[in-house]
Amino acid sequence: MFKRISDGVRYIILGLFFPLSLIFIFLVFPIIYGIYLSFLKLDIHNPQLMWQFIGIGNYLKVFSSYYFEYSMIQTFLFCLAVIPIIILGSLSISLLLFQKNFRLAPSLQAIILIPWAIPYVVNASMWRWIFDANYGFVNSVLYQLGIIKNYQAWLGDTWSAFGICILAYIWTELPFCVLLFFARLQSLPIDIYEQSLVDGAGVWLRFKEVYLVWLKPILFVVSVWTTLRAISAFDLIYVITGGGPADFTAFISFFIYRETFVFLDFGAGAALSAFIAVLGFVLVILYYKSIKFVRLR
Amino acid sequence: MRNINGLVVKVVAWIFGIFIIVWTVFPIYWAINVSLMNEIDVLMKPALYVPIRPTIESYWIIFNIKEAMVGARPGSTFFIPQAAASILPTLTNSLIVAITVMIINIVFGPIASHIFYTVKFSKSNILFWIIVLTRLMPLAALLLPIFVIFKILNLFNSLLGLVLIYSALTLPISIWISYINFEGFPTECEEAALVDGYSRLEIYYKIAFPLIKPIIATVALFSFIFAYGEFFLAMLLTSSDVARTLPVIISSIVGTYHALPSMVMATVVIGMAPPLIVFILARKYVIRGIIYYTGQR
Amino acid sequence: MAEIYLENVSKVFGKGTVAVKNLTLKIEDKEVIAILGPSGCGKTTTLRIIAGLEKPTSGRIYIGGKDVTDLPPKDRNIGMVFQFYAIYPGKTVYENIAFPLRCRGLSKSEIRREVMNIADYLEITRILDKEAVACHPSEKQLTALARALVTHPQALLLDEPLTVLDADTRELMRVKLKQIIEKEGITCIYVTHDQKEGMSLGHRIAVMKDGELQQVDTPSRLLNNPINKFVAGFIGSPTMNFLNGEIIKKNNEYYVIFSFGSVKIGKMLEKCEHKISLGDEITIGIRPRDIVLYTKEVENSVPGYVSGIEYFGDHMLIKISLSSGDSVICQTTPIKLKINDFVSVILPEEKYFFFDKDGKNILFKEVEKNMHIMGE
Repeated sequence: MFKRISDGVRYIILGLFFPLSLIFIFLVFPIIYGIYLSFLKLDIHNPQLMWQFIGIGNYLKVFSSYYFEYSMIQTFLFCLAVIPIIILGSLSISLLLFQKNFRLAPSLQAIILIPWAIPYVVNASMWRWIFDANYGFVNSVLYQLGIIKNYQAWLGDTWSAFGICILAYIWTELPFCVLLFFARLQSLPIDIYEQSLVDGAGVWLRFKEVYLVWLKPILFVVSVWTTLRAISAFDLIYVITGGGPADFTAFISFFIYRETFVFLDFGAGAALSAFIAVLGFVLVILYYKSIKFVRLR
Repeated sequence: MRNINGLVVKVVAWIFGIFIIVWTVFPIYWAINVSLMNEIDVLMKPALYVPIRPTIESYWIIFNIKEAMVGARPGSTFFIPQAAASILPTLTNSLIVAITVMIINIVFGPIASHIFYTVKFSKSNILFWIIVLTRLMPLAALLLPIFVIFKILNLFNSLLGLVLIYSALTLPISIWISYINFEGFPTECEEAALVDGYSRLEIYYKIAFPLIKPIIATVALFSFIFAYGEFFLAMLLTSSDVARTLPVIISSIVGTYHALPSMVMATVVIGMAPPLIVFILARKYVIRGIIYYTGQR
Repeated sequence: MAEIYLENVSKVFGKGTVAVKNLTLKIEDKEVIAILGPSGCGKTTTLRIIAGLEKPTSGRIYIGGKDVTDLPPKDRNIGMVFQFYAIYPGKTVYENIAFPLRCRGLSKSEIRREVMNIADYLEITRILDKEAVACHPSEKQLTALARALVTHPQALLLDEPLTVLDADTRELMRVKLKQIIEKEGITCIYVTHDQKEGMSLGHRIAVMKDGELQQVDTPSRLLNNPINKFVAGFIGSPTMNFLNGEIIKKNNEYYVIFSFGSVKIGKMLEKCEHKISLGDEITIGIRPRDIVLYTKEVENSVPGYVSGIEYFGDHMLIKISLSSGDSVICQTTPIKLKINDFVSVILPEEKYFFFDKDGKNILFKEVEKNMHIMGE
């Protein structure tokens, strides 16, 4: 019977059945299910109301919760710091890697992806240890240089913990963006570059008129990708600071975890997830438009 | 070909480049450094930058762990955390899961995008975009639903469960990466083979597959790194060493007060090693892989 | 003054590939020179070295009397047009042309004046506001040309600019190009592998092979006085016929013996008597249109039969197989012949080129050094 199906269809089934089932079961369905759950009352502390449809009740609860406004501000500040640095940093590094005359370029190319390859738990652990209150490297250096008199508990202090999160996050996320830019740079037609040399363009004009124009599509992609990941930054932060001190680094995605597994209000957790997902989705639409823009070339 | 004119630019570039190298390599160096220090040296203030009395004590303990070794150590303020006993088993689990996910991605990733690229069936575009877009949702949105699904399918605390969910999360990106690199692919060869009577499946693994080796390498590297390093879902969805993966243990050890520092860092180093090894092996192909077809005109 | 002088320039690429070998070439001010040769002969590399996009491994380059070897392209006061026109994406035609002027810091009004000037001259004013990448290839090429000329460079470098255009556009562009070059009076270096193009545009042609300069001369002298077998075979269409033979003396007469027969040579030999000796291997070259055919037996001819006919309207190319298996191509006005017809082939000795076993033209005439070579 299998033989009676046309070859093309058979190929499609063989190739797509397994991955598509996985994706639909574990990715697509959960998203839809999650959105559904967000409209139900699923608070363990209210057993009699379990599974009741309450419309936007969960959303209202979340928006008016003690943490929402505060965490959104923290998240916003975090993104404000992290997103520009990653975008501009990865742009400059990829340009640097691209210069064939630059003798450091090959070594840079070799090591630049290492932070991305390492499991982020390991990243977080290393950074925690470097800033450790008792044995950390940073304490040791600053002490030796006489800048501080006593070892500080960097992770225990609000703004320094915030800064450490920023540092570690950039360290982890930057390489991938470098990769994206670098790949695009490789496809820059040599002609255009050389023509700009003959036409007399100096470093700045070359950057502005040749590189930037060519990178524009990827710049958009990287921007949206970085933004998306920044607003949902969670895993890395969780391991480094656990959200502390005193929720100072508990960005908004944190509270999904807290609502769901600590407060045990699954409905609220689902609602918050949906909110962040929608926020992300809006950006994804922009992302899609940028893909179209790339295609049109 | 790509010149850097201007001495100022050159100097800035070198400073920046060296900064990047130090910034990338340093945390790793520090972890190795501490992992080799005996417990007295570790406490030195200011910290030692090179282990003057290096010891592989921690590594030895990890690889030869016995129940008796866990717990307080005579004459020292540090102790060996219980979790240390789990390092080897979870390392094995991580490797099994990572390799399996990698294989699944290699087998099903490129072939899916090949299907999307060559066999254009109705609604294939929509399907493709669903696959890619869903992956762009923040992971936090999926926590609860996946939890529920795992419960329903009885996949808790199983390596199979992890393999399935990781595959679902990595396949979309593998498909996307492969698809981008199919631009410029010589479809004429395949069309000729079709006319000659080959079935599409044969065409795929005899013609297409050998040509996209760089893509395979990229996909393999990416999926391995993801599956190996994923922490949060592993933490949520496993409850014992039967299925637990290394990142969970690392986070537990790192968070343990007064755990033997060299052991903590040794765990971190061991955690880093497999992906770094895979990375070094695949590096040649990865850089080529992403640029392989975008580099052609 | 924009004469260009390459002094003993060599370029070796990383893996040991020698792209250009000991090239010494002097290009006069206002001269148009075509660098011609098969793919991989080093012509593009030479152009890039003149432009400053490649640094020579050894040798110096002088433009307008100044040593520019260590100068970057932008300081050499040149304009360049690439094979695929290198149009800046995301810019209009106007902005493309204006770019070099922007790099030099001219004011907006000055830029406008210059761009309108050159656009007017090249008749592309109407497309100035169009998205440059979306234009027709010939428009793109004109844009590239305008961009190269807008700074009034002392030299114009062109890398196969017409290869990518279709036949009609090519004709059009060739005419326009010639007009402009002559009007602007700038030195022009033109790289191509199409000899017809080189012949029509260049005052002189530099023929290169495997990185070495073979011969630099006017088109007519290249045709009539090629320095070696390669140049003789490369220039001139259809390709020259080459026949290998040996020189003997019989009855006090000199003959060349080929595998298909022998031909008496007398007069030609007098000119080079001191350069060749009996028993020497020699290659005779004769152009297709110099071969004469008879349908009946004639004296001092070689017998053969027709093995191929190509008809071109105003002329025919006839392939003739000789008894030894060699074949020659003959170009004639249309005559009535069919495949396998018998013909007598006359190879008129005064049309011979003699090449020794190294391929050198035995009868090559050295050009006198101070002869003014332009406009011949």
